[in-house]
Amino acid sequence: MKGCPLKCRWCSNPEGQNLHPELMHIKTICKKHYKCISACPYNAATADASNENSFPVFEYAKCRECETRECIISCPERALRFTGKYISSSDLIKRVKANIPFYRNSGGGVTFSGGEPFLQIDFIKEFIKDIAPLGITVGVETCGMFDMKKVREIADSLDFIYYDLKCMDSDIHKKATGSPNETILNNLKELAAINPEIIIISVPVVPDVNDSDAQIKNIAAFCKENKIKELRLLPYHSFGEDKYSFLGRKYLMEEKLNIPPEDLNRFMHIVEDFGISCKIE
Amino acid sequence: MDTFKKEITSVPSTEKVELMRSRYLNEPLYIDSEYIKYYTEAHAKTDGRNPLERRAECHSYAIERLTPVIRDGELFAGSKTRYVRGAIPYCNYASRYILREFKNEEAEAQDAFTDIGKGGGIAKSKEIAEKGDYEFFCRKYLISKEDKHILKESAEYFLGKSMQDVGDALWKSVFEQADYIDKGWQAGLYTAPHDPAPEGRYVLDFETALNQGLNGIIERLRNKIKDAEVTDYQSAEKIYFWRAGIRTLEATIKWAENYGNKAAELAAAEKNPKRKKELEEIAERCHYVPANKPRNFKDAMQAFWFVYLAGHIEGAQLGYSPGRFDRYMYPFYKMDKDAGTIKDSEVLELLEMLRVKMTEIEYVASFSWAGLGSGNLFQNMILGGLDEKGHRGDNELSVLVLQSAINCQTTQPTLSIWYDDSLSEEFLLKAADCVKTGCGFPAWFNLKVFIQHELQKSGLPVSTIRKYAAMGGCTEPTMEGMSYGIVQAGFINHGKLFELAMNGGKDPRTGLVFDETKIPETYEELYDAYLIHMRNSIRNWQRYWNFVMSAHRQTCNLIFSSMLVKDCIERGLSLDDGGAICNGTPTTLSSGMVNVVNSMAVVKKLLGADTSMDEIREAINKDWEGFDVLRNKALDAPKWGNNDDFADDIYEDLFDTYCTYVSEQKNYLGEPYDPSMLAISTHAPFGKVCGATPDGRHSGETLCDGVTSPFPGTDTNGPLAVLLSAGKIDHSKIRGGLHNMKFHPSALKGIQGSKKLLSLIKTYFETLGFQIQFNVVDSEMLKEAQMHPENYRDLIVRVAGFSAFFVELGKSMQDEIIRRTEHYI
Ligand code: SF4
Ligand code: SF4
Repeated sequence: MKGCPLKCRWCSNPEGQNLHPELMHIKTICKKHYKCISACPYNAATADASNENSFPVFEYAKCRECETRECIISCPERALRFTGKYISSSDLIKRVKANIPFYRNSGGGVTFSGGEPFLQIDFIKEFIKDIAPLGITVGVETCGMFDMKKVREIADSLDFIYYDLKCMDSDIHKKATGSPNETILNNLKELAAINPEIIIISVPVVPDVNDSDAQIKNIAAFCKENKIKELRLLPYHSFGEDKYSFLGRKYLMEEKLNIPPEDLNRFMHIVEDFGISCKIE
Repeated sequence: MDTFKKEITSVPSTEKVELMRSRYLNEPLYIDSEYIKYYTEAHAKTDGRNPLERRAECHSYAIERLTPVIRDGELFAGSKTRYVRGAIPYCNYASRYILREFKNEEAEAQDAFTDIGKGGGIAKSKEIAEKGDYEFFCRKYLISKEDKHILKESAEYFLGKSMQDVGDALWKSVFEQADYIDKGWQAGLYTAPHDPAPEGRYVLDFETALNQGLNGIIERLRNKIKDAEVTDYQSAEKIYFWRAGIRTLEATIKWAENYGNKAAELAAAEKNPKRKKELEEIAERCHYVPANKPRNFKDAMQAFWFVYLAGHIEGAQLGYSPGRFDRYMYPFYKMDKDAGTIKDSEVLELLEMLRVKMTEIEYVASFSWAGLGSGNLFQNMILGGLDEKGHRGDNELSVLVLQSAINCQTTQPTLSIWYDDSLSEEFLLKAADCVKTGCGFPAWFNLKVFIQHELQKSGLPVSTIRKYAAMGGCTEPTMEGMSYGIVQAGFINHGKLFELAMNGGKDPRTGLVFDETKIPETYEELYDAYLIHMRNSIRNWQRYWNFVMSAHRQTCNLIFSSMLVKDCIERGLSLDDGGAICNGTPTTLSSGMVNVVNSMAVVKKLLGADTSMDEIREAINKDWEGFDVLRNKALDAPKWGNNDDFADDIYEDLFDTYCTYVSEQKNYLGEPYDPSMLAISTHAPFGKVCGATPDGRHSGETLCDGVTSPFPGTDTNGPLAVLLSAGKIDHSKIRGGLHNMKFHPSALKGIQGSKKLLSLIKTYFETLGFQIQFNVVDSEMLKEAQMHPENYRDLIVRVAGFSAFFVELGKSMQDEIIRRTEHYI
C-alpha cells in the first residue's frame, strides 16, 4: 500500500513513500527517443538543452496524471509506467478469494505492506471483515507511525504484525527517518499489551543508525519489557538505489556501506541473550 | 552482491561415473553407418520375402553383426553405435536428405529459418572436421571417409524404397490436398516433411521382457505357431509375423552374446585385477540375460539396457521411453536388498551410469528437424504414480533414481513424476531437490487428469490405467507396454493460421493462397475465418499423416517392438496392423495458441470507435513501425495468464474447438485422432515465419512456448494468476500439455522453499491442471553463458518438453529462455 509517514534514508522501496500513483521512468530501458516529450499535454517532460545525449527530464510536479497516460502510450520501449494504482477493497477481496486454493495448501495468506498500510486503515478493516471468516491469515508490516485509536479496533483480528523498530534514540531516529520515535514506541507498547505473541520486530540494521552493540541492546531490552518473543535483523542493502532516479529523486545514503557478517552475528547473540528468538534475513 | 551458490550439489558418486560423464562431455558427434550397411545388405538379399519377415531379417542381420563396444568404466554393456556419441542414419526411413546433404545442396526452405546450437560437442566436431580425416555432416556430425562411402551407397539403394519415397509416391499422386501440404511446408504452417520419419513415443513391456526373459517369449511364439490353424490369408499372415518375431528375439540374444564374448576377450587382456573381475562378470551376465529372467538387480540392469537399446536400434526413434522404471525394476532391487547382496551406493552408481548411457544416444535427421528437437531424444523416465490397487507407487528405488539425476547431471533421460497426493514426503522432497539443481526436471504430471483422459479415450479399467500409465516422449502420456507408438511428429503453427485468417487465406510472407476467406472487418469475422483455417489445416494434415503411416507399415513396421507390446503376439498382429491394445495414440500437435488468443483478445478489446481492423492489419504488416501508440494499447489489453476471463474465455473456446476438430477424424488404425499440444522447439522456427501479431509481438519473434504458459512479459498478475488461468481449460481432453515456470533459485531456498514448490504443484493439480515444469536459474547466469559458452558447457535448462545443454541451443532459443518471466513464489 502506497504512502508512508516516514522517509527513511535507506528506504529500498521509495515508490511506496507517497500516497498517490507516481510516474516512473525506467532509465535502464529508455532509449532516448523523446517521444514522451511531445506527448505530454502539460509539458511535464522536457529535453535537457545543455546535453544532447541526456534522458528526458520529468518535472514530476507538473504531471497531472492525465487519464490517457499520453507519455506512457507514446513510448515504444515501455520505459514509462505508473507505480501504484487504485483498487477497491471489493476488487482486492475478489482477487484474494481466487487465490484461496493456494493458501489452503501452503498455509499462506495475505500480508499488507507498503508504505505504511495503517494509513489506509479503513480499507484494511473492510477487507478483514470479509476475509477473516474464511480463515485466511491476515498480517501487516508497519513502521509503527499510525493512529492507535483506529488500529486498536482491528488489532485483535490480525494474525501477525511485522513491526519496524529502527532506533531507541529519538534524535538519531529523527535524523534518519524524519520523525522522532515516541509515537512508534508507544504504539508498540499498546499493541504488545493486547497480544505480544503476534508481533515480530523487524530491525533494519543501518550504518550509523543502529549498528552498535549498545543500540541493539537497547532495542532488545525494550522488546523484552514488552514481552516480544521474536525479532529479525534486516541488513541494509542498496538495491533500491536505481529506483530513486527513476522517480526523479535523490538517493540519500551517502555511501554504500555493508554490515559485516560478524557484526550481524554478534547482534543476533545480543538479542538472543534477552531470551528473544532472532533471525537474520 | 554475493553470487548465488547452488543449494544442492551435483557430483557423480564414483570416479567411474565421472569418467564416463566427462568422456561424453568431451566427445564430438559422429555418424555411424555400420547398422545401415548390414541392413542394406540384407535388404538386397531378401527381395520377394514376406514384408514382415523381410523387415525382421534386415534388422536381425544387422544387429547380430554390430561391433560390440565396451568402454572403460562401464559396468553394463551395450552401445547403439561404435562411437560414444553416435547416430545411425536410417536410410530405410528417408534417404534423400542424406544425398542432398552430400551434394551440399541447400536443404529445404525450412532450414533457412531453423537455428541449431554451436557450443559444446558441436563445436568440437567442427574442430576435428577442419583437420581433414572426417567430414562434416548435417552441420553437426562428423563422418569418416569410409562411412561416408557406405552411407552414400545405402542412401542410393533406398531411393524409391524408403518409407519416405513409398509414402510420397502414394500421397503425392492420389491425395487431393497434396498441394495444400506442400504450400503448408513452404509457408511454415507445418513442420518440415517427414524426412527423419521419427517414430517412438511408446514404451515397451519391460515387465514381461524381464520376467519371462526373451527365451520365454520365444517359447510362447513357438507354441502359437504350433497351435495355429490357417483358415484364411489373415491367419496365414500371423505365422509370418510370429516367425519374424522369433527372428528378432534370437538376434537380440545373439547380439547380447557378442557383448559377452567381447567382455571375455577384454577380461583376458586386462591387467588390473579389479577391472578384470568386472569384465568377467559382464561377460557372464551378457550370456545369461536378456534371454533369461534376471537373477539379481545387476542382471536386471543389463537386461533392461539390452532390451531398451535393441528397440532403440530398430527404428528412427524419438520419444521412445523407458517408462515406469522404478516399478518394474523394484522387485529385483528389493530381492537383493532383502538378501543383503547389494548396497544402495552400488545401485546409485549403476543408475548414474544409465544416465550417461542414455545421453550418449544421438539422432540424425535433416537439418530442419534437428533444430526442432534441439537434438534431444525425449527419453522419459516417469516415477511415482500409483500401483494398480491405488496405493502410492514410489519406493526406495524411485528416490535413488532422483538422487542419480542430482548427482550425475545429463540431459537424458528426462525425469517425470506422476503426481498423486499420496506420494511419500521423502520422495517429493527429493524431487524438489532435483528441480532445485536447475536441470529442469522432474516435470510434474497430474495422474488424476490422465486417468480421466484415458477413461474417455480407451475405456480401460482404472486399475490397468493406474498400473501402466507412463510417459512416451516429452510430455505425452501413454499406456506402457500396450500402446501403438506414433509414426509422426508433425506440428501445426497456430500463428500462421492467424495470419491466414487476418489476410483472407493468403500468407503474407510467401504470397501463397490457402483457402480463400473473407478479409475480416469485425472480431466475429476474424474468429470465424480462424476456425475455417484451423479446421482445414488439421484435416489435411491428419489425412496426410495417414498416408505416411501406411507407407510405414509397408517398409518399417516394428517387429521387435511388436513382441513387447501387448497384445500383438496374442492377436498375431504387428503394431502397424493394430496389434496393440491402445491404438488411439496418434496425436495431432500444434503450438502457438497463446499468441492467437492474445491477438484475438486485443482485436476484441480495441476494435471500435478509435481503431479499425484495417489499422490493426496495417500496423502488423508494418511490424508496428509508426504504430507505437497502438502497440502500447495492444500490450495493455487483456492477455492470457492473468486470470482475466476476457482473454481466458477465448482460450477455452479455441481449445475446445481444436480438440473437436482433431478428434473428428480417424487415424490410420481406425481410432479417432487424439488432440495434443506441445511445443518442443517449434515455437522458435514457427515464430520466425510469422509476421507481427496483434498481441504486440514483433515479426519473427518466437511464439509462446508450451500450451498454457503465458507469453513472456504478458503475465502481470503474478504466478498464481497464471496457474488459475491455466487451470481453466479442460486438460482431460488432450494427451499432453506443457506449462513452463521459471524460478530464481532464491525463491526456492531451503526446505521451506521446497514445501512452497510442492504446495504450488498440489494446488495447480487440484484445479485439474495437467503438467508443470520449472526452470531454476537466474537470467544473469544465462546471459553470461551466452557470451562465454566455454565456461558453461554443462549448464542444463528446461526448454519445453525436455532439458538441453544451454550452450548447444540456438541463439533464439537461448534468448527465449532468458526472457521467460522470472517468478517468485
Ligand atoms: S521514456 Fe520512452 S519515449 Fe521517452 S525518451 Fe525514453 S524511450 Fe523515448
Ligand atoms: S501522465 Fe500525462 S500528465 Fe503525467 S507526464 Fe505523462 S502525459 Fe504528462
